[in-house]
Amino acid sequence: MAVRSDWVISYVQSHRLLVSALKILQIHFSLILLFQNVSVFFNVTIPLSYNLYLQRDQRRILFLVNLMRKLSVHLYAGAFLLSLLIFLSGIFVGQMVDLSNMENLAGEVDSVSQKVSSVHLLLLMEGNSSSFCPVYTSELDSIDSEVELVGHKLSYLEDERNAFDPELKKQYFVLQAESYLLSKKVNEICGDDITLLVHFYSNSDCENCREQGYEILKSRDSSSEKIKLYSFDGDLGSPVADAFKEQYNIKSYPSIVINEKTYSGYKSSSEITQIIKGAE
Amino acid sequence: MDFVSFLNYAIAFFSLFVANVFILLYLTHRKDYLKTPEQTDWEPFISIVLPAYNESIYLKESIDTILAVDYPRNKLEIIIVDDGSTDNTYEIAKQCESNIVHAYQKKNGGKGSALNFGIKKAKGELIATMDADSYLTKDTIHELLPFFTDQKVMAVTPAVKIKTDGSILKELQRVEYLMILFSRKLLSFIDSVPVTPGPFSIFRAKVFDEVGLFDEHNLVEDQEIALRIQSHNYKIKSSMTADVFTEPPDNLPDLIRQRVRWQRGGVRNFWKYKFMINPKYGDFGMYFVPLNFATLTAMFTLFALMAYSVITTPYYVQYVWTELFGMSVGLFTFVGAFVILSSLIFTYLSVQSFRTEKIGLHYMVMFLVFYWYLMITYNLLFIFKEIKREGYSW
Repeated sequence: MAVRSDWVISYVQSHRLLVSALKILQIHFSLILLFQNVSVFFNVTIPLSYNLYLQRDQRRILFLVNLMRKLSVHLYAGAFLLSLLIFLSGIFVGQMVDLSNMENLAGEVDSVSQKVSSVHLLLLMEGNSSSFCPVYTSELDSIDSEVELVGHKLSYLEDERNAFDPELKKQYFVLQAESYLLSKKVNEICGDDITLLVHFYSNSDCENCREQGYEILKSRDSSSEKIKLYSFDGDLGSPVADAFKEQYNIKSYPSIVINEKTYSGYKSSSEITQIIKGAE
Repeated sequence: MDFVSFLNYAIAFFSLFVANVFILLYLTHRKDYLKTPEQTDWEPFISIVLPAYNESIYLKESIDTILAVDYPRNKLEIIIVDDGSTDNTYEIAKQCESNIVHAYQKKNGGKGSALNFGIKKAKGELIATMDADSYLTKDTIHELLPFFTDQKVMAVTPAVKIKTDGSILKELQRVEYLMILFSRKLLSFIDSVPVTPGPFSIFRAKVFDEVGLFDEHNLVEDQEIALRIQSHNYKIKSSMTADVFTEPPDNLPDLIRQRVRWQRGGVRNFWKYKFMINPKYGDFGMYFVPLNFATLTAMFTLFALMAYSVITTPYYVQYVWTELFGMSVGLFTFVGAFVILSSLIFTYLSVQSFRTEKIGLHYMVMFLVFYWYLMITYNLLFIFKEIKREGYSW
């Protein structure tokens, strides 16, 4: 798939949004006009004694006729319907925006995939030669930060917007797996000492996995060492995640693999930092 | 859907609903909201009761504006009641005495007691109450009288505005007063005017015999009497053309003090009249009174929800917050945008209705952006004061 530029994507999305917004506004205004005509009809039937433009006699008669205080039910019904309409439009707009966000993310995943492929190709071509180490390191760093951003956005969409695409997530895991394996290889070839941390979690069967994720991030942020993070949902049915689970003997969640050693159970950020220091 | 999301949706829908009621009221009455009923040649005797407490700065000018009103001298009397001032308010009042201006002095007892003192001395068919720092215009009385043609009308409220001196605080308050006036006019179409403003309001004298005099122990006695009139199913009308100008607080602490007082008094008053939630009180009882309670509840729930969302912000948000703006557009942004846009249009309309009023668009936008924080401030303060069970003071 050709890599489209971000600018083009956002232009196309916003154009689509604009068109939908205009359609919604059209419906909105026609409903207001419709309601207005209906309410004029109702206004005639509701007691006119409160209309000050009538002659005094007419008002006296209608006053006697109407002793109950007016309750403008049609006003509240109309306001309720209008609110419902706007609310539903809002839901519709929300869905549309979520869809476009998902598409954006898919595009980002594709573009990072390309980068990973080129690094992979380079490695295959150069074998165990360490002459391209600086290139590998810098490319992988940029890949990893992009992948992490994609991961955060995916989490955000899942948590806050309830937008979840399992296929996209599996693609993301494949991406992480490639990056992880490449980083391992580069560590060997170039003699780097980068700590590789893999976090295994489950969205369906683990109460402190989210906490564990935050603790890992905190430990990475507060550490002076260079640490690369990867996380996999072991219960999603992703073949890549399942393969890693077997390889590292993952039996429970959360589990962390630091430089090829498996640690199971919840670990706080300080504990994680200890392990990393110890594993040096 | 979890409880927190449900609350968020409920509050969004509620604010949307209230906004739409006002919008529909405007749309159905957009042709006649600026109109005054037909002028008649009815010229009843009017007594203007002017309570004053340490108002030596504004009193003379105020009286001059009353004397400049276009109304026959022999149908007017002005009753100044000095509520035990500690400055020379009474001396100034005594100087203005004439065959239509009478000055009295009494021991300090609060605004309500001063008003009642004056009302008991008044002999007019209509009684107007005003503040010593309000200014009338030439047409004020003539623009208010036609509303009394309907015999069920017991009180009419004028168009209370403020004169500004260019300071931002006053400009923002000016926008606010115009918006309040506009809303009050729209509410009058469903007979839900909840307050006869202290700066100037005009009543039929007999209403005090029927519903009683002002509540002398109330923080916002002008609202309380209006609620009492509503509870007797009488009508209160609102004029958009009878101009009255009042002095607003010119610094932030005074403004906050004033609004906290309004809020405390307001909640107390509506609690006292909660019995009106009954179909026999029509729109006022079934929509407006519950609305006040609902708004208060919604506001505090919203504070709680905002605090909750800040506390539970996920750790990773700091990595993506620049991206989040585009991602977070959805239902709430849409609803929020609608409410804000309609508030802007509403504010704009309320100002433009008065051909004579011109306000820069920037003030209106500033109003919508900053006034919200002011509202939060005095709502929180109001809660603290209630908890401390602080005494009342003007």
